[in-house]
Amino acid sequence: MKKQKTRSPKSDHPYFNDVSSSIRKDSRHSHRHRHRQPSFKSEGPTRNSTSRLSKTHLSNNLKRQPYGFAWLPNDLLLTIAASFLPRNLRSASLVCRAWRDALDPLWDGVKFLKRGKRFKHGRCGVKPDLNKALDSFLQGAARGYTLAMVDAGLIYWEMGNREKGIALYRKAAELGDPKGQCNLAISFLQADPPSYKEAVKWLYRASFAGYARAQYQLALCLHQGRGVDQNLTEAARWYRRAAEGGYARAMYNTSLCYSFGKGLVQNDTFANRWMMRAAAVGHSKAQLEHGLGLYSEGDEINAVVYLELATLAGETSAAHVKNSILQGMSRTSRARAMRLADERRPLPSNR
Amino acid sequence: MASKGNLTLKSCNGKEFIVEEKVAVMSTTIKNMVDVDDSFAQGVIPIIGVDGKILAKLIEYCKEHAEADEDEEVKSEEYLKKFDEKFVDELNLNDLYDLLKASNYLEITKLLNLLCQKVASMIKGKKPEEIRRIFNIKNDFTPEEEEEINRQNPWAF
Repeated sequence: MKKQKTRSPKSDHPYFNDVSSSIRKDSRHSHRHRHRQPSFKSEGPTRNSTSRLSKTHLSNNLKRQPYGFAWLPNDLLLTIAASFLPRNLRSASLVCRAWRDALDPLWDGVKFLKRGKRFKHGRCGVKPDLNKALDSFLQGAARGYTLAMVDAGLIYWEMGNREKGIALYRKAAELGDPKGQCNLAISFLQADPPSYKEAVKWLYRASFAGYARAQYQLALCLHQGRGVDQNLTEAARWYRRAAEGGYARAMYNTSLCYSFGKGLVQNDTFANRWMMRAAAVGHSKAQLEHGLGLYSEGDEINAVVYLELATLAGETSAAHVKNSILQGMSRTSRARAMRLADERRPLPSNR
Repeated sequence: MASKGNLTLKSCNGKEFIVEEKVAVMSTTIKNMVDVDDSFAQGVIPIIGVDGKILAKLIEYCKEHAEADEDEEVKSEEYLKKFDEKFVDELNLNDLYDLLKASNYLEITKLLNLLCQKVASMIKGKKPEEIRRIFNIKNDFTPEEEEEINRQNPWAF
């Protein structure tokens, strides 16, 4: 692929075009004149001294090539960093010149991703334009940046072009992007007929990478025995891990596991704690349950707060209980409870 | 001479390994060689640029995964995950590098992905100087260049 230098207007600086620059040792003194020398393509610098090479790699006939992580082939480095967030990309680019040059296409990917997000959500004075957003994401995807692939796939999916969406998810998934793996898995679950086994395989990969949404989906599969033998202990373990990762629905299910002793040792304290957390991040059923729990403990004011939140979130049964509690309260307590409920905004959850 | 269903792989320093065909063809490169030229299936397949130690590692990995692909019930995802973790954790830096290059050349996609993820996990969340120390890389930037990179991408999300 032709190298694109769009990182900044400054990238026309001769410094950036000099592939051979890392050969010279006296870089700090001679760099002003460097660009006058012809640049040539090479995998990396060849060294005058082979002492370091011979020590580590005598028996290998790769020894003529430069040896070590600074000279990883570009395609490998691009695979390694394909799903990096910009902060990790920046650290990697600051390691050495060879890495900086190799990672250049991914920086373009980051730029296209940002541009696409502006078009998708209409940020920064830009009018929302789904086609322009898709175009930007596809440009980022073409640079090998998995985050752009996933966003492009999402737009295709939402437009009803599932096949193209899945193709992009798959590409991101194979490059190790947990979100791509999870989306690919969910597309297998929703396919007609669904391929549960394939889904579970990808869910495992994303779950091992620590992606909470995938952990929750995997727990559901283990719970229901879809694509894998039913295993409540394992299901509960993944529910809890997803809950610890901040996933609201997993918090609710973790609470139920503790409450009924399903897959986890029965423990009311933990059950209550996870129910409260799920309620705090806006899970409507958890708000109802937690509100009822508070009422049974005699905390009427906070019970009303959570029941009101649950009502707003669409839990109709919460409204009945709330109204009957309110009727039994003094006018000042009632006013206080409603004010607290108004002030209360759910904490963010990454569900 | 390998018996039927087996292939002989020869490292660049002359070590020979007899492996089942299903294990060897986890490598797309070897699969293509065998598919195209039948004589490879009978004779010895030279694995250029890969020494005996690394080839042994490659075969160890492929054996485990070829068996898992054949019978999914016996080896669970959890089991393979543990095997993979142990496999990469036991590698020193040179082995990791050699295996990366070898699995890239031999196109053993599963292993290549695993190794790339390992390297990625060694980079993520770390400062450039830590990464250099881990991978034994010399800083060849001038302070001005470092400044330049920092200036180019000041935002984060």
